[in-house]
Amino acid sequence: MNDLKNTIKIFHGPQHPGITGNMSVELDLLGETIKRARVHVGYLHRGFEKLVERRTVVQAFTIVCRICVPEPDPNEENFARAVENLAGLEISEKAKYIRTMVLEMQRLANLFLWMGGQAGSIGLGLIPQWSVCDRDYMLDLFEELTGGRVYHMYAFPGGVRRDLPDGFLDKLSDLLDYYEKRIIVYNNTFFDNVIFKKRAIGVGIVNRDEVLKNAYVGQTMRACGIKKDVRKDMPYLMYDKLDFDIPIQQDGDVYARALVRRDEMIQSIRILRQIIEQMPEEGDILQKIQKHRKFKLPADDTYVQTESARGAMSYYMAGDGSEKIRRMQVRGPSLVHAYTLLEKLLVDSELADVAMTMNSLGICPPEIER
Amino acid sequence: MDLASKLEKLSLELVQKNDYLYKVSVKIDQLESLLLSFINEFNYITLDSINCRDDLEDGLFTITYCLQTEARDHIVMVQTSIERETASLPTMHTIWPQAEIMEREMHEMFGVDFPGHPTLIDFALEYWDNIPPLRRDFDTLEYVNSMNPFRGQRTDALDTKEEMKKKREAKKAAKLKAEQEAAAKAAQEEQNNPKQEVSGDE
Amino acid sequence: MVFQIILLIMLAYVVGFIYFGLYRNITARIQGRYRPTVYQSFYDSIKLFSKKQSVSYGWMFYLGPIIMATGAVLTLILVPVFSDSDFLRSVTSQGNLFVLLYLMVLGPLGNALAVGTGGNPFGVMGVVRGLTRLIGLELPFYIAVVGLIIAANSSDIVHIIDMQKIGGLNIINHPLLFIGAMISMVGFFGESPFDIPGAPQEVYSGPRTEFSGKFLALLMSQGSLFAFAKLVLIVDLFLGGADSLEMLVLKTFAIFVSIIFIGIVYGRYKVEQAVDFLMKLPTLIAVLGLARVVWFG
Repeated sequence: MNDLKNTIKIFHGPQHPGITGNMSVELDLLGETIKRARVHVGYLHRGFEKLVERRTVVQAFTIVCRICVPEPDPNEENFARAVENLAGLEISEKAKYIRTMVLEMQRLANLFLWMGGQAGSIGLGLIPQWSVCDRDYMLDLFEELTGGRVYHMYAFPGGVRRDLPDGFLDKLSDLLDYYEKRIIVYNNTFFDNVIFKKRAIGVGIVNRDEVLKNAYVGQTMRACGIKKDVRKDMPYLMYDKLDFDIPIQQDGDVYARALVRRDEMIQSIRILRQIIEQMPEEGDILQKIQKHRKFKLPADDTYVQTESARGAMSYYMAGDGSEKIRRMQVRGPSLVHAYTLLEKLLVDSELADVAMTMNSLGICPPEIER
Repeated sequence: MDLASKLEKLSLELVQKNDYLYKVSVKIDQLESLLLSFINEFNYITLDSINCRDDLEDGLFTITYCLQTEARDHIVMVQTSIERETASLPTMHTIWPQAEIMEREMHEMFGVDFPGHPTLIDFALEYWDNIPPLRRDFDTLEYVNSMNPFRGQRTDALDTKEEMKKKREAKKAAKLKAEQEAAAKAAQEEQNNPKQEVSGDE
Repeated sequence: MVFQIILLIMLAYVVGFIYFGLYRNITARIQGRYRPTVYQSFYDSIKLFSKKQSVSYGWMFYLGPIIMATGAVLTLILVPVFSDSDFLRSVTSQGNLFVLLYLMVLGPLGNALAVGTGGNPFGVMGVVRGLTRLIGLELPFYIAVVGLIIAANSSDIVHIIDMQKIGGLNIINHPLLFIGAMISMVGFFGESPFDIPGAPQEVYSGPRTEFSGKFLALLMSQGSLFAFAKLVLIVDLFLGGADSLEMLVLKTFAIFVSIIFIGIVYGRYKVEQAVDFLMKLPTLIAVLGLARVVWFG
């Protein structure tokens, strides 16, 4: 390739303050302009899909949440729903409300973490300190509900593992009041910041025509003006009975994706308030299934999809009549974003934009290579 | 014509699994034309993932292409089976660019060949010289035992089963002894102070 | 005289590091986290001075921190610290504003010379960005200094201080020049939005990547010496100098705090965006101030 003649090659990662996680991007630079980018993963391959094949449903449920590090709950939800589809289990309304609540709570926590990462990538060290602290309050609530701050192991096939503690919904309501005031502060400091606008507008523009065909999901899709969300198109749990909007923007650059995420935070708070009002008092938490090695999955396969904070996450699960899981394949939103989209977006952009673009697309290496 | 009748014409059966999910099984030589007709006629334009399942007992790989509509409200699983030994599939990366990375991963993990694919190199494993790891005849326990020599035990190591057995027996003996002592003490008490009849009602 | 020079270096070292400690405290308070003690920079510097450099690239590589330290110390002893006393007057009468302006760019140039021999591409990228940024930073500052020289009819700093005692502080008489110079000063101090050379998320801390041990300690120390010298220069040029230690500390701290308050809440420009911005608005402000000085006295 002739345009690679005078370039120097540097590795952006795998140990670098400017990447989201543990992957490396091999860049060929001419000055500060990138001529070619290649993504290398493999530093976080833990072999989950092979681990699950030797395990029963109860054993696999404890490790599934560790597939994606910042967002464990969509994994648990997908696993539980796939097993319920295969085995034909029905869950009670209270369990559905609790699982919806957990999904929305972790969506808020993950969006705060994203905000810290995005601000840190442009050198604004103030926002990560604030947003990680605010996320910590949500993790304290998770600890009270499930026993674990980050990895919950809470959504089990058939419902959830334990009931809400006393006074939990009041604490959640107070926290949501606090978050509504904080989002105004973040708006003034970060989203209206002159430097952020100057750096983010016009950078990393995604072509609108190829978004749907190439399976770009999440905020990448919604910032191009396409109003689609798994919660509205293929609703699961309680989402068809709750009232919320899908925010969109039209420009498709880093700034548009940031605005979409900010509006999604506001919508999450709205959903959580409705859940707090509508939560039923009585109800079965967990439908009993047979113990451990007696619970056999039928010889069938299924495909489930959940909307995580970064896009649509899908699981393919197959059983074979025994108590072990025959095959579980995870398709996270980051696989296509990192390989098909990022390698194209970085060509003819600048070195200073790599960290910002990676944070904006929501690339999470643990779920690319499980 | 709608989906079920079109597939009946090709003598394929459309299974509906739930409100959003369909499944159809097809033979390998009809695969590409069926996928193209799904894109062009029924608006299933997105390839969400390519999944592979190793059916070792039948000597087959079961490949599933999951397509999603443009309106994002239905998913169809197009399933086909190929031989394990000579596993090879037509590459879809000219139709969908995201198929490039999915097929690269499947080549590394299962050993499926995709003639015409531009980058069939390693995805997550470097310098891997064993059989493709997600095949069911690759035994991870045996691999780990062969690669990592286990350190010997400490010199003061005890056998867990023996120690737990001893502990349980000691606990049982102590409980028995406590019961015997309590019974002996109660007998002693009764001998010293005979129980007084308490008159109930006057 | 040698004793006075050493005394001045020690004063600058102590005051500069205490200011750095206060900077870390103020930043931690705004960010809502636990603070280090005010003397943390002393501990860091003493620890680093007692360690060895772990890799070696030859003698040219070590010239970088030494050239920067030379520039810092020379600037320090050429700036008149106390306006009414004879402290180091024999030395400061030798230098004037033009010499000082040359010395202020000695640091980045010397660093650029040395880091290139290290071979680390991140270091080279960092120094190239630093030099490109310097093009933009120099322009408003030099126009402001030229305006002050014309207003005072001399380039001797002591003379400028004396004129301020008679005619009023320069910050009140020439506010536009002050604003132009302060925007440049944000960059000279290495604060956002102009802290481009050592950006950790982009070039893995830039020129400082390969230094460790004594040379890193030298880089840190010269940074604080230089910061003190620049603060005293601004105080002399615009705030009428200081005649006692209390006034010196008060005035330099006021300038320091206003600069870091800008730096905390802003992100980081890209290099060409920074030069673009600096060549437009701050230069325009400084040119207007200069025009006012030339045509209205």
